[in-house]
Amino acid sequence: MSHATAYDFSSASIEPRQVRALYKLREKLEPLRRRLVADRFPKDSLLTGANSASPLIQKLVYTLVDSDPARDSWIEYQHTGEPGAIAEAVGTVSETISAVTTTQVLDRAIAQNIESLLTIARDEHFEDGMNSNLSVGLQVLFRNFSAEFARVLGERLTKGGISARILAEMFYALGQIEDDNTKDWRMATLVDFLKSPSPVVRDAAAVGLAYLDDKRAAPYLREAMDRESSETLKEDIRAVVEQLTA
Amino acid sequence: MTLCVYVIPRREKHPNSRLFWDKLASLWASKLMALCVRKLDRKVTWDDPRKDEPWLGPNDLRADALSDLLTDANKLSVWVERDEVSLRRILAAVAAKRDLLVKLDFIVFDFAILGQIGIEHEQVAGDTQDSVVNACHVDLVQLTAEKLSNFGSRIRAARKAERYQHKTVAQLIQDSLDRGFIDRNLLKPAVAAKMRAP
Repeated sequence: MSHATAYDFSSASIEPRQVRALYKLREKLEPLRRRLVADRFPKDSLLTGANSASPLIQKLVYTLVDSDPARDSWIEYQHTGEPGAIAEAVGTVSETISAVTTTQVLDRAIAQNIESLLTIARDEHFEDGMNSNLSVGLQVLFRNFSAEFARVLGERLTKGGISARILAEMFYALGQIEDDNTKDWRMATLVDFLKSPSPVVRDAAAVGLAYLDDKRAAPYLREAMDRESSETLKEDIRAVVEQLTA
Repeated sequence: MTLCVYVIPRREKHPNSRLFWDKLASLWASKLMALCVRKLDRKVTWDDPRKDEPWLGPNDLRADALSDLLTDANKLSVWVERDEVSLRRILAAVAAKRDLLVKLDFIVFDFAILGQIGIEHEQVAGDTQDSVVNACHVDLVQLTAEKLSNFGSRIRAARKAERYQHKTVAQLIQDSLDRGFIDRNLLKPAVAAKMRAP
């Protein structure tokens, strides 16, 4: 079956009105698909939106993300499926894409906010116990976007290139933010950074965990203590373990 | 030294007024041996050289530690412990004026170090909520970059930086509240929220 035949909607058992609607929809979706692919938008995220939908919708989502191989599924369905189901499926895909693009826009806005905070932080003097633009900014973003913000911040932390001084201030804030929704994420992030090559960052991660005050972090802190080369830092981590297990 | 030569023989000569001479000697000693404290933010930068820092001598100060000695108008703020004002009370007052209840890093040093490296000082009232502690505040003045660096190296070489975890800091502040040293109403909301209800 050639692609030319496949996209000849008139050959399928679909009403002309629906064919026109599908063509219009496809015209709208195709540039979007190209943009998504060009931006290397993770396919998995797009598919997540369709996980609960029927296999048909998943095929359509594949069509939007992948190229020729997945299109075959679409082509196959086009000739066997019910017209109403196709229309519904395309509509659902359209909604999925809409949701995905909204998320993408939100992610970009959050990412921009993070970069702005980091830019300001470069010239900021941090003082223990005093609010900074960075710590207040993080509080606000967590309050407004919670899990979405945690996800984008996690991606930014993975990317690296943030100075130890700024990371330290960030980790103190992560320990103090009151947001149950992201508590596990914050704890996991701080635990990850207990393995940082920078003693300043390791120390800040341990302090952040002390502020978080969750005894589930104690085993990870003990591990960090065992591998810690700095005796004084080891003592400070021990103090955190004692606090959490008291 | 002159006082030492004067006091000790007098103390032996007048055993009945030993208490007076002891007090005088104590006053002299406390003046010379007074302990001071400087609040830090990043204790880890004051730690002893690590194995991966062969470039750092045992008594050297990391350049990063200078960010904990931030001056204003070539002055640096320190606190001097006194008989009637303990180190704990000073630290409680310092912690109580902050926005958040967090750990407190600090380093204690001997007042005599200032004289040894030619650093001038001025008694200037502090800005904590404990008026008695405020009288213990001193500005180190006319600081040059060299003097500041020298000061940092000397105090780091003499003693280890210390840390009170945030829960210990809470106890310190609570203690000052209970004793009436600090007015609860003057605490920042985030700190007040962590204190025991009156």
